[in-house]
Amino acid sequence: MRITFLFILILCTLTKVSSQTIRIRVVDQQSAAPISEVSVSGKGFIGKTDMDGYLSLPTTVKVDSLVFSHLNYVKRVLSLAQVQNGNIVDLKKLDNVLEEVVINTGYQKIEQRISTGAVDKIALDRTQDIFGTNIFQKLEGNSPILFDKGSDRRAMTIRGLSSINNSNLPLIVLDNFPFEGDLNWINPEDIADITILKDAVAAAIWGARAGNGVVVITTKKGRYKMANKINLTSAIQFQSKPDLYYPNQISSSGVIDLERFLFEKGYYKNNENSYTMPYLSPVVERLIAIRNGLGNAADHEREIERLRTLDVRDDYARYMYGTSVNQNHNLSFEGGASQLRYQLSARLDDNVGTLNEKSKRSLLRSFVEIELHPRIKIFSDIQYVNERATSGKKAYSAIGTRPYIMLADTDGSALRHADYRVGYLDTVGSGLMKDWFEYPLNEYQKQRSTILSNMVLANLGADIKLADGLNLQGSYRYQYISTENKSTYDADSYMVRDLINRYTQIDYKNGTASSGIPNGGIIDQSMGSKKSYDLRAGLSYRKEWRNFLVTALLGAEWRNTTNENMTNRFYGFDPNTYTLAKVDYLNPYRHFINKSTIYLPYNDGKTLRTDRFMSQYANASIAYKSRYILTGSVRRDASNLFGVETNERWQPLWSAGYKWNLSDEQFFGVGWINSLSLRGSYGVSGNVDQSRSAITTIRYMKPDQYTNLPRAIIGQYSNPNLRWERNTTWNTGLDFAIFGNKLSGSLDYYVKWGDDLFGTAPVDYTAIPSKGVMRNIAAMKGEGLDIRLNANIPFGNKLSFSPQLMVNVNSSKVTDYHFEGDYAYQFLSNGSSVNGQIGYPVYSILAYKWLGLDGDGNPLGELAGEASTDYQQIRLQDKSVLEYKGSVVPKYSGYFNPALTIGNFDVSANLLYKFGHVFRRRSLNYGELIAMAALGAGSGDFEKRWKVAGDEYKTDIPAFLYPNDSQRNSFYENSSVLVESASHIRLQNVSLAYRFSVKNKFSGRLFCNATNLGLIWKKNKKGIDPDYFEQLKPQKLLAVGVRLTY
Amino acid sequence: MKALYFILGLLFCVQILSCNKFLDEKVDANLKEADNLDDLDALLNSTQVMNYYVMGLGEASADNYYLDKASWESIDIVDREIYGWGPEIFFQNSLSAWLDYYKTIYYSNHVLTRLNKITAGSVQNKRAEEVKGKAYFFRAFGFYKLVGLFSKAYDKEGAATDLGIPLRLTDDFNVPSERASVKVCYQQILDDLYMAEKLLPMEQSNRHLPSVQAAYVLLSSIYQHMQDFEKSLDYAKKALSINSKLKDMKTYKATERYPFIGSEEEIVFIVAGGAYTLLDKKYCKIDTTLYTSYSQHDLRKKLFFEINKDGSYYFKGSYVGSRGLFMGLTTADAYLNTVEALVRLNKVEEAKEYLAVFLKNRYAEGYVPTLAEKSQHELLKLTFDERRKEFIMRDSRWSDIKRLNKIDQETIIPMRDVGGKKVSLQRNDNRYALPLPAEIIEITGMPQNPR
Repeated sequence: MRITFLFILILCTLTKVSSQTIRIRVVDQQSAAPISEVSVSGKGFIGKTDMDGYLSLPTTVKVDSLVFSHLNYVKRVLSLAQVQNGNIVDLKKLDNVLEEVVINTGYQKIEQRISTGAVDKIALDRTQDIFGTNIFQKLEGNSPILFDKGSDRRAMTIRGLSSINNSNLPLIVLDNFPFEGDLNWINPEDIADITILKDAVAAAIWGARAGNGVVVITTKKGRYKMANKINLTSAIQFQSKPDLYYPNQISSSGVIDLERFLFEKGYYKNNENSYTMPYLSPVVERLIAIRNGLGNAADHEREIERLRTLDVRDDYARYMYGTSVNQNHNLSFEGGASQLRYQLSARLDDNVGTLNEKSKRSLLRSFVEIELHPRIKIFSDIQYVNERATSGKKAYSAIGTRPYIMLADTDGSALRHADYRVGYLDTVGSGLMKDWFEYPLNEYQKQRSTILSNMVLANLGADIKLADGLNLQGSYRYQYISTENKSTYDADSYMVRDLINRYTQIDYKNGTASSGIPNGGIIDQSMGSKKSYDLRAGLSYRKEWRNFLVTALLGAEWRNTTNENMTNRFYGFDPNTYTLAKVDYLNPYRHFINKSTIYLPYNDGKTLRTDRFMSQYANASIAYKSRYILTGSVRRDASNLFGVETNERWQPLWSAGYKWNLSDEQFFGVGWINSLSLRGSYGVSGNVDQSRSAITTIRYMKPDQYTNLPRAIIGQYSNPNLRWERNTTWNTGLDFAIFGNKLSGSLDYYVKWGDDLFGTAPVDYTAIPSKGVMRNIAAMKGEGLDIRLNANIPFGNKLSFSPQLMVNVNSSKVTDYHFEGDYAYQFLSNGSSVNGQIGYPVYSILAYKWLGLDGDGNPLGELAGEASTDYQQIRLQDKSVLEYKGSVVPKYSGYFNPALTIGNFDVSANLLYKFGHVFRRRSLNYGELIAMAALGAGSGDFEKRWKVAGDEYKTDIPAFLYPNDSQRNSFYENSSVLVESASHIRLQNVSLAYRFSVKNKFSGRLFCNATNLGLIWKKNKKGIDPDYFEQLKPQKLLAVGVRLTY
Repeated sequence: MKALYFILGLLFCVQILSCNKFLDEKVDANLKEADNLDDLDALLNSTQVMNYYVMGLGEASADNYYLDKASWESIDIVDREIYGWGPEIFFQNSLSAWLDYYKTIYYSNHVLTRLNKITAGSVQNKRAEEVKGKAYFFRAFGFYKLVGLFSKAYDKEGAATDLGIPLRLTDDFNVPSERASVKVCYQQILDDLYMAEKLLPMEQSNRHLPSVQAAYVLLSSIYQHMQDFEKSLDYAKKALSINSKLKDMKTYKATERYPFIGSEEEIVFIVAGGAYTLLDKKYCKIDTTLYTSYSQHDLRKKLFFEINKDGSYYFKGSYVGSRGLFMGLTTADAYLNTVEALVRLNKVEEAKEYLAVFLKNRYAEGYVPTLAEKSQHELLKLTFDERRKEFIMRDSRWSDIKRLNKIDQETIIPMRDVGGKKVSLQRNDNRYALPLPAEIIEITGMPQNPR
């Protein structure tokens, strides 16, 4: 309310200011993009265009002609009348010049000339031929973002790490506000600009959440006085089924050998005798039959031999996986009139995955900006997204199954799988119960999940010119996302049949059965709604005065997000009558097999989360002769962290920077250097832990199962001693263009210090019922070098070569770590958690020293300088015995993108490289193998293990040991022998495009693109793709498409 | 320029005014500070924290069961070593008992701390007293279980110097943990129970909640450990005066998988939990001598045990059925405590009366053992045998072995076949006090129990 009042007030004051100027606008002849910093001069008048290419001529100016000049454009002289006639002036670009780049920080637009931060603009024209349903798929190898494919690792990072424990994801900003929806909901075709802010200047602008860098995405918005344009894009992409044989997995034969061995040892005896009827594999069942003399032993043996030849992955490849087809179509209109600009777009994405999972998405957007008054502009930007995703067939997983248990018979009919002993299930319940077998081959037909999402995003704003150079800007964003997640299990699905059976009671006398679970389907549904609003109001000031250019920004913003979720389960769904059934949650039932007391699964729940943020910010820059530039900014943030005193909520941040455009100096006379500038920035920011609480809080749970009394648990423990993390960044850089602008680039060196970093410290769980609490545990230092080189070398008119090279060097080390403990095993780090040893990279591998295998095939470690198999004592040595094997984050990463233009053809490639890091190869763990829990990647080493004396010279894989020794397994898993170099070069993309135009009306582009073309070189000799060592590799993607502009 | 100042001023005002209220909204609607009695009661009513947790470390260390070779081979080295009373380093990660018991103590301490703040200055009411009483009881119960596992048995001479457990009396985790002496530990447990006794209702219909009767049963057991048999007798009788009902075993069906399911008769206070790995029905076989020591007419023989396909027996007699092994308090505790105290105080005839009532509920009609001829010594022996048979898989055997080895002439020496090797625990072996988790020793610097 206060804000509305404010706006009314401002409108009132404005009416008093009258306009007495002629406004003209300078644009690029070809692209109609506004040109800023165009010097306009005439007799007694000199001025420069602003960010949007505007210049106001006082009516008092009476000149014959005006000279329009700009470094990169052909000079133009026009009469005043000519200028006034259309109020728009277009300039022709000089050949081979660097464009004046405008940086959008999300708060303001400033020319790169006067920006002091480390900033990368993404060359979007280089990504246009890459197929992608979201923009980030196109940024791999086209941006300084490092993508990591490991399952539980850092997915996207910029300049390594700034914090140890908090999220390392960069902040994503869409049209000036942080974007929190699905990244697929940003239409890649609608994007006009992507800017990546990398240093402290970014953090001081965007606050605490910007410590990991900021990706600022700006959408297309049409232009004033621009001819209407219609763009149509259509593309289709294919992907073949994945290679299920890539992970090094144990064979059926290996599993059978193991099962026979364990059977002899009596391992299965307890399960065989158990009244809870736990599942026994077909091999074990046959071994029991042979032992008990049931059936023909030779037949059983023959069947076991047959199982050795099977591999369930054949069935998955045949029945489950197929070719994926993704397509997208986009239609947009953009343009403008004298007081209006607009962009309308519609996009449709239709994806069918390799498991036949489907998603359909439509995106609609409408942007309109109107100039109400020469001083007042208002805009509205409304987006609507609708997405429907449905589940597909069953994905392959090596967990909890045996590789010889197939999905289908030789004739293609579904084979049955069981969770209990097969012989028991065959006769259970005398025919009064549901079939208790699962048929994974077609189970997917009986259970489906659908996710239906809708998003409305509305941006409204106004820009009011209060005085010359002083503008008041206000904007409001509203975002509403609703998600409905529904899983439907048909009455004959295994999930429903199994549940009904478990709750069944049989009255054998009368031959009737009843179950606590009603007949019919089950629906699990969760509905979520996320509402957020952002409000920002600020003043911007820009004034040229003699040789000075001063810009300043002052403002405040509020943000409120509420996230409400509701989960429900419905029983007894009948699709014909659309009815549900009542169930009894309160009274216990008896499990049909083990007779334990069970209650009906009760899944209902409701949550509400409210996040509120408030910020105040100010920044200013001053440029002298646009040669010497100083910038500074301050900001403070607060959020509604629970139980924190108001005065502790505010978190201050600041930064300062400079720039010196050296090549503009009179004395700078190096002809082959077209431009050269030096810049530097320094800033301090902080991070507050969201779970920080000064008081102990409780969380109410579902009513107690046994007593039905209200029940609460302790949610957070009071942790008043926790301080803010402090991050300090220093950046110094150099921008240059040489050889007639044929080669340009930048070089940045940065140092980041993190102090009082959060970490989970082991705690005396006598005093607090938790194994670890958040403490200010560590300090780190990171440093690095970013090199970006772009070349554009023409060979005549038809041919040009424009390669791009990015080199990111990054290293980090822990400089301080408070941890109570010295045992080696406590400091083993596998790269997914922070290494606790000072002086080593934050994410690195420390491993036990490996001395090979002994004569019995036992792995040898080092104990007091001697080879030893005393694994208990090895792990209890001092941490200093551990071997440092390297960082898991690449020290060198980047890309090389050559591109060639031959006439109307564009050819480009995308080479990614990562060097100087390691990964831990998965090998076997006998504990997991014995339990047959996970037969995943690495278990294939079973066949190559030590078997007989002498094998220790041929293999590094320890002998099978029974009884199991978890200490021995853990020693092997954490030994240095499993660490491999992860260095590699990958061919990420190859694109080919053909440009054409029809009668100057249509212009178009036909393109095809191949992605995931695989490794070109890798250092490890084990055949492992270091980016995908625990998961399936993605297959090659092939796409074709067309882009038309009218 | 005036307008500018005006706007700036206005912006500033807006910011100041709206700031606090805007940021006071709580993040998670399900989260709050415990600031009223309902909240505190809700914490103590969380049965998943206060009454049910992984337990049975004492039983796993005792001699009521064994593992056959195939089972022993099929489990991990850590459990194999715990089975064989192995070195302390194997106890480090497996002691969820430590975390679970101290969790109930932390909850109790938190409730006591908050209760002081909430009720400060206001008139004490019945509800507040009951919440307070519950907290004191839960804390005493936790300490009692912990001292039984991690300390030597109470020894009148050594108690002042023997290492007890850390007595956490606050929810402030910055206060360091230190081990108190066994004597101080027992005194603290007694003090807490005296408090609880004054505040709690005599009985609770919901047996998950502490009552005066539960406090009396516990007090009787504690005095029994402290060899103060007069007080032990006193409290056991007080408990029985509130309710002396025993499960009449004749009314239960041995054919049931869980014979005692759905009956809370005799139960005074429920504490139960998922069994410790070694006590999993899959591995845990009842000691053959123990099984055969149940007479044919002892109804517990069929109600407690079921035969495995290999001829061994497993335990099925938990009073809470599949919810886990019942390790709480019953009126049977009060009966057998009464009997032991009376025998030791040489009130043999009175002891026989109590024991007869107990046995009548355990044996088939007409086959109840006769007590008339028993001497004091024989009666004591019979009492111990009944204790062992009655409290199987109730975590009491381990502390009984420790206690009886300490005070009586006859010694109990648990023995085990560990992978073909015979291992035994001699009388008053250091290993009767289980090692503290190695991580805790490392963080706090508290002294470890020697092996």
